[in-house]
Amino acid sequence: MTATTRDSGVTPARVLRSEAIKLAGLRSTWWLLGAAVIAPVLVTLVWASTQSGTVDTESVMATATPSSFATVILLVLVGVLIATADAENHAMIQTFAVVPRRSVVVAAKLALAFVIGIVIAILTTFVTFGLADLLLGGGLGVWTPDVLRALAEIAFFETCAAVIALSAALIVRSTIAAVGVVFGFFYIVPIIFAFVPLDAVNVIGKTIPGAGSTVFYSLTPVPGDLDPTVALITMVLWTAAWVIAAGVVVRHRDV
Amino acid sequence: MIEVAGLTRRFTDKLAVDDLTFRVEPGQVTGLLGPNGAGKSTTMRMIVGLDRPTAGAARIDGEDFRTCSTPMATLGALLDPTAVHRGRTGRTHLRALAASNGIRDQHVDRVLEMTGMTDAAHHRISTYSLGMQQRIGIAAALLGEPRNLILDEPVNGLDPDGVHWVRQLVRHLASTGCTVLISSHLMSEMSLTADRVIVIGRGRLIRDGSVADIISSATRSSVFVRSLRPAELAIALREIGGEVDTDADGSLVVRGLTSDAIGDRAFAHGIPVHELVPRTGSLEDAFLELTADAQEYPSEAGAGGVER
Repeated sequence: MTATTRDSGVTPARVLRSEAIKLAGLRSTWWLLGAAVIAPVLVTLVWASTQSGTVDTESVMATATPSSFATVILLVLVGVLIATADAENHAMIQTFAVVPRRSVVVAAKLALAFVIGIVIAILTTFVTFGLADLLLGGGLGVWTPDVLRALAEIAFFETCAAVIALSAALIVRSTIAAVGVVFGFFYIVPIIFAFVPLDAVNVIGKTIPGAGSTVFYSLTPVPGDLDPTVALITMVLWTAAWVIAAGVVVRHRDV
Repeated sequence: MIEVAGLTRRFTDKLAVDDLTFRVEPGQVTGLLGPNGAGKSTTMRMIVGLDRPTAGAARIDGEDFRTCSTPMATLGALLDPTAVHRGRTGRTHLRALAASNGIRDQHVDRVLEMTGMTDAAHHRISTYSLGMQQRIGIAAALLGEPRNLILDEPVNGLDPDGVHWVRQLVRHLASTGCTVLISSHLMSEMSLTADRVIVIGRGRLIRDGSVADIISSATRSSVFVRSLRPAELAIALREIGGEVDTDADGSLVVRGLTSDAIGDRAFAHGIPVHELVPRTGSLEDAFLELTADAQEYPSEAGAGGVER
């Protein structure tokens, strides 16, 4: 063995760098990341142009937060891309031939989705709120502790969306199927659960991130909605459930 | 060293690999041969840890590859050259693989140069021919300067120069002590490349031995003889135990006698001989003989021509 490989070996940091190189090597990544930053700003500009009347914290929030849906969509696509860039053409064969401990690969992909998700989510959430504040002429008085908490919760939801999308894509190994599964889980399953005549099922439906996250967008509690802390905890649990499911499936399935 | 013990893989409706046991020694090129559907690729995938065995185990240098902490230095594998994201450049693809094992970019560039892919390295893989993808796949397998190498059909799509290069490469690696397991459907190529072959059919081991032993045990050598007095010569040769067949043009195919013995016998009887050519069986003959009953997808006898 030569000096080239004498110190070679797999470490989590090296696999994370490998996954980052893979992701950065795709043109679609840069299009998606660019869109994830620009689209929420554009949505906020359009929304602000339609606003009139009293300017207060609630109205600035109502102007800024519609852009969050664009961020969620694009971060879901980023999460799916991190997984399916390997899966759809069986490139995972090469990945697992050089890193046979599959849990390390899954962890690296999760870390990448989390880091990209949290950076984009915090950036867009705070920039769009600041932009809405600026366009509505509200001044810095609207940056209250409640607003900061709500913005942080929204950013956390968007990040969880990226992580759940990655996990779903690792399981289904198809871009279209993964996008369908994630949005179906977020927004259709809660509706179905709401129709089931069982209270427990109704409550579970409310905790699913698509439904549960609605409490983050309002500064005043809405009767019948989840408490924001409960919504946060259940979001963490749902995300953990998807991550564990992806880890188990990837570890035990043939490549 | 690659060891396979009792390796078995059952899919829902098919036993793809059935209790396979063999050992691939270092310092040799070992060919894994078998008809389509014999279980070669599944066996290789189980060795690399991509598929889980139903029973048995595969070990590389004594350990299960799935728990290996230095994978690229332990094993280089080319299993499917098209299993790459076609939107990346060849160099980015290799850099990503190398980074996972702490291999530096400078070494990636050296391997690209060695595989003749330097000029194409910055182009997207979607622009590559099958032969170029094959070279990138081989480059990926060589990145870690591995002690063991598994190549599934490495010369598919390569031009004659590329085929020659792969042959020289694996022979050189084996001479440095590397363990090389290679599969191919090109028997002539395999007979030039491999020291030893493992023949499997319907997932089971059929024969394991040196190329020479496999050929000699599975085929019969003969001597082609052309003479102006074939009938007399045939009688003379049968008298000393030769098994003689006469072709339509009068030439003889003799088994059971050496060309020396045939020449001496003809001389003793004053029969002129115009041609005396020893014929040994080929690896392809041996393969066809050994796998005759193990063809998963047999061709129709005599269906070589295309109806017009």
